[in-house]
Amino acid sequence: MRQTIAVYKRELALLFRSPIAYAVAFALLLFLGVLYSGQLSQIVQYNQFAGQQGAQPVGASELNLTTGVLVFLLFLVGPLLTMRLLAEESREGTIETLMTLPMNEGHFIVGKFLAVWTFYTIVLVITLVYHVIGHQVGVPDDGAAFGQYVGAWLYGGAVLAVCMIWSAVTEDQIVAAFLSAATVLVLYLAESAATSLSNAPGLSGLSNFVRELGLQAHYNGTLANGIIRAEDIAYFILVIVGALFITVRIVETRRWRG
Amino acid sequence: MIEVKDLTKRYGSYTAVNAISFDAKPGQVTGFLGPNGAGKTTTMRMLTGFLPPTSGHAMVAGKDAFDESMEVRKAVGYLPENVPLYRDMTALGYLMYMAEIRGVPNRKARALETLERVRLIERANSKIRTLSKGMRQRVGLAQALIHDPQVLILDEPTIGLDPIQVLELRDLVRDLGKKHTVLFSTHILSEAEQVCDKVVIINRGNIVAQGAPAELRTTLERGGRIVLRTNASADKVLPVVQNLPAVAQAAQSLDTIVILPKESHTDPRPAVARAIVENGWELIELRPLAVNLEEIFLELTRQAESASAEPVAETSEASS
Amino acid sequence: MTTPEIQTPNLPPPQDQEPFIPPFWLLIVAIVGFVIAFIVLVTQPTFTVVGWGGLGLGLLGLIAWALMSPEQARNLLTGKTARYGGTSVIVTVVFLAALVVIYILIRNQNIRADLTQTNDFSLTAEARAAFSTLAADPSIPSVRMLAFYGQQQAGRRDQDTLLLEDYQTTSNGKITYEFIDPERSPQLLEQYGVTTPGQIVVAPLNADGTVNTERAELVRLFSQEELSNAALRVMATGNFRALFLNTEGGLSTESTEGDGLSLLKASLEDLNWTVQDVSIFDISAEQPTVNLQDPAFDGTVLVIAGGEAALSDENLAVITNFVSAGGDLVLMAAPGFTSVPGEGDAEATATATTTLAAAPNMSDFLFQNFGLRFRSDIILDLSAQAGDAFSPIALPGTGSFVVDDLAADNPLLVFRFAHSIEQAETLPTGVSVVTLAQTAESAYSKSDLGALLADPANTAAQVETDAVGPFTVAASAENSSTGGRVILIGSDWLATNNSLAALAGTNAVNGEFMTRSLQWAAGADAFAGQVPITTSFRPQDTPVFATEDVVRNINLITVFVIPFGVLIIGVLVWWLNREVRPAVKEKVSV
Repeated sequence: MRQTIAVYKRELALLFRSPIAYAVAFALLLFLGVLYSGQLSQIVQYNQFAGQQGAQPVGASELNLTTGVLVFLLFLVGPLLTMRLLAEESREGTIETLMTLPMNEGHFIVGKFLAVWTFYTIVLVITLVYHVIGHQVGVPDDGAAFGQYVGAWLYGGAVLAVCMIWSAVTEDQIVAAFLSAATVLVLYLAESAATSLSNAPGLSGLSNFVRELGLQAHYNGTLANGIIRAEDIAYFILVIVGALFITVRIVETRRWRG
Repeated sequence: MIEVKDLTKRYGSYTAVNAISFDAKPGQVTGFLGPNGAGKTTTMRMLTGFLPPTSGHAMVAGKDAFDESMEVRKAVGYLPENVPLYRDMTALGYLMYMAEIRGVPNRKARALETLERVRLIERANSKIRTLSKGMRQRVGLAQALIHDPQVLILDEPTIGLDPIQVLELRDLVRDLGKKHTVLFSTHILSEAEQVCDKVVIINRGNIVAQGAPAELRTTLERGGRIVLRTNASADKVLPVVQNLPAVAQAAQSLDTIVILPKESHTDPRPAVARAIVENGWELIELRPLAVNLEEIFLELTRQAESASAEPVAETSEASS
Repeated sequence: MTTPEIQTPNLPPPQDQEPFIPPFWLLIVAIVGFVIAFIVLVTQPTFTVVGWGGLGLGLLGLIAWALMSPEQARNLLTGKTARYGGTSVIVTVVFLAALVVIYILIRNQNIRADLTQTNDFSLTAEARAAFSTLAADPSIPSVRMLAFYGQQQAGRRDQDTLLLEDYQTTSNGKITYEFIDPERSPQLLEQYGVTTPGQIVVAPLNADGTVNTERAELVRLFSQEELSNAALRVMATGNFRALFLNTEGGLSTESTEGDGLSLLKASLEDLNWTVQDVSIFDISAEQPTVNLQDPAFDGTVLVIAGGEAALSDENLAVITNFVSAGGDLVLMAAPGFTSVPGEGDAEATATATTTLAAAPNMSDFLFQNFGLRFRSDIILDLSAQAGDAFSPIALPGTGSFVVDDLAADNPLLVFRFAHSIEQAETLPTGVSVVTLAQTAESAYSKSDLGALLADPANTAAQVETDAVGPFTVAASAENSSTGGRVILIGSDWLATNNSLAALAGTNAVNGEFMTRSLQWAAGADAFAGQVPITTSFRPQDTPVFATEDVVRNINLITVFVIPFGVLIIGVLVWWLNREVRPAVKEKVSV
């Protein structure tokens, strides 16, 4: 525990001092900001005309792109935040120091994971500004927003944990980032893959399996709309646990791979 | 406080460390000497719990290095080869980080104290990336010392340092050896001779000799061959020398004669000298073939190689 | 060690030979078994024989392995060697399999909650009340909702399960649901007329539990309102009929023009009502083509919508006989003038006509039997009005099925060219009257229709002789001895296509008021499932509104302040973290 906290504090401090974290946060918030303000202007304009033309005006719950786009962009954000974590330790050889300190691999891997997850959480909290703004121009659904944010938070944790696996596998940060991005994209697109699979006769079972393996099936339809399902929460938590477990095992292989 | 018994490490069919046994006592600096690739680093990694052994046991600070790895890691300070450090931390920050992970109380005071000890206090707040190689080596050493460990394992700490830094570091290690159990690996023989109370010589995964440097020398000199050089031709000298009772065998080697003494007899050198003088020749040189660790080392590694009938290893570096 | 020893190198010990048929294989067999069981569990709707076989194989393999090499098993569990080599891979696979099992166990619990404030995925309070009442009545058929969702609708399926589940629990299992993959059951698609995946069939169940395909209703787009009402319709008992009397200048349910009643007809038909236009001859002939007392119907209401000439006494007698015998009548008053479109730019001119409902013979009948009658006037309101003074706004009353539980918040009714209704001081015995709608106090009425029509611009203003509001503009009366029910509505415009189209999306409840009036008159309020459920306005539907300034400020904050703020903080941190050696030295030396 003490060791985990020590590693967590160091990694978090490092993130807050590293240009890449700020660059990622900047790019992400800029993109989301442009998207949000664009959508808001569009809706405000639409509502002006809707009144005149007898069309149904749009409520604030339609201003809900943020988390959906954010979880999509995680395929870029996740690898950028995690690629360093273990690849750098391997390349610099510092992992040998870590692995001969009185702590096991789980301690420092969990510490590192929690640090990037915290950073992501902070960015996510910043995007809550959009929800606050929503209250200024309409009446957003706070319950649905709660679901969206809890979902996006867990989703981020799962993506970061999966990305850590690749950082443990390779010493090359770029390779780790690319493989992570590819993995997250595959998990993101699993739902679409499942749909195309279902077109083939006799594959509907496989199609269901692929769908539930993916990230979107546990976010898009449910949490993103304010529906909380035990299995979705469990999915994200189990993905985090599983990915961290695999990461620990991979780091451990250094002890016997030679 | 290090006891190694039949410690073996195999990677597939390759044996990196082959059933070695040695020990290192508290209050001593034990030198772990061998050419590159001899298995020094592998052994040290097994002692620190980084690598599990294939077989055998290593007791460090009274605990099994593998079964009670956590206890051993608490008692050991380890400076890995090449001194890996976080280059974007300050020296102080790094030491405090290590102290926190190790649960050292008063970690700021302790970190500053350790920096003082390695004479780096004036660069405490410098980023490690801005430090010179020698300073980094000292940061690494400070890291190994931060929790005042019973056992210090230093893997080639002097590599890549300039001569002055090497001297400083050797002083420091000698100093540390008074209080801690220090296991210190090097491929530089003179260094081992200067610093260590005991030397373990390892080659190709096998221990070829161990003991105090002085003892090693005496033993080798006592049982070793003698080189004789006179102004007379070897044809004349050889029969004379061969007939001496203390001499088992003698042979010509270029312009010298190498004498192998009989093991039961005492040192044949007085008898040889007398015989030369009595025959009216002039004695130019009469000395044991191996006189310093360097030569012992060369000798031993060569013996080991011919004994194991394996291709000749690259040892030129080791003799430098 | 005092004597140094010179050692000869040890030969490497001989390679370990593993002299057994590796029990390891049993472990692999076990894993294969579990994987099969897992795949069956995940992919098949039921845990088939193959699944049980896989599970059994897995357990047997595991037990056999543990028996054959207990040491390996112990090591695997105690975790020492568990970390190294091939065992590590196996441990990882076992661990991941355990996670999957946990996931499946949790998934099978079906724990879910609707977090939305508007309860988008749960039943509304109205629907909940309706379905829990219906569930208690054993005479009402059970309902099956068949959702034709393919893999494309997998996301929607996850969402909609919540609401469907809510139907099932609220109705105590009376409403059940089922997802059907349209690709697998093309014959069902055809049977129910499903055109695209994503549609839902709502069908009652026969007594034997089979689906009654004849009465199945197709809901094209998943919406709670549609589903609830479809369910209500298929559950509804009672068979009702509205007969609209053809009169001179009266309104027709067949007409889709602005002054037609086709929208009203459609909404009544949605309630499974029979709606038809009848002539007085149809109901009065010796052998009437439409039998007012048809026992096939649980209720029949006769509607006279408008009419610009008084009924002949003979024809009136048909109606009064019907009502006196317990028949039900809804009477809507025509304005009392006809508008003649002008030629070219010329304004339309209005000619005064008689109003059927306010004609003396009708008035006398109503006043004597129900204590209510229309006045020959027209109501104006300069403040509480919708568009012009001739469109007064009235508020619904209370104490009647017609007006209690109207769906909108702050419901109101918009009348046009409305007549006020006069109530007798003393009602005839056995008659009870409820005021259904009343204008504001600011309303006033003019009875000199001729003068008003001749020069509306100058005579519309309120003068002292005008009667002042509030006026009753809709009222119901019931004769408890005959059971006859009558509703008087001051304006026939109330439920025209024009009115319903113009008021859509507002809190005016003209349409609902009208259908409820008919339902009450026909006695449908006493039958289950006859009341449709409407969704009320939610605060979350408040349109997004922002002035240009606000939009500009928001753009500034979201596009510039936040991202560039983060960037600036980043640059500052970088600046502060630069290596400044002299400064550091000074700091330390102090």
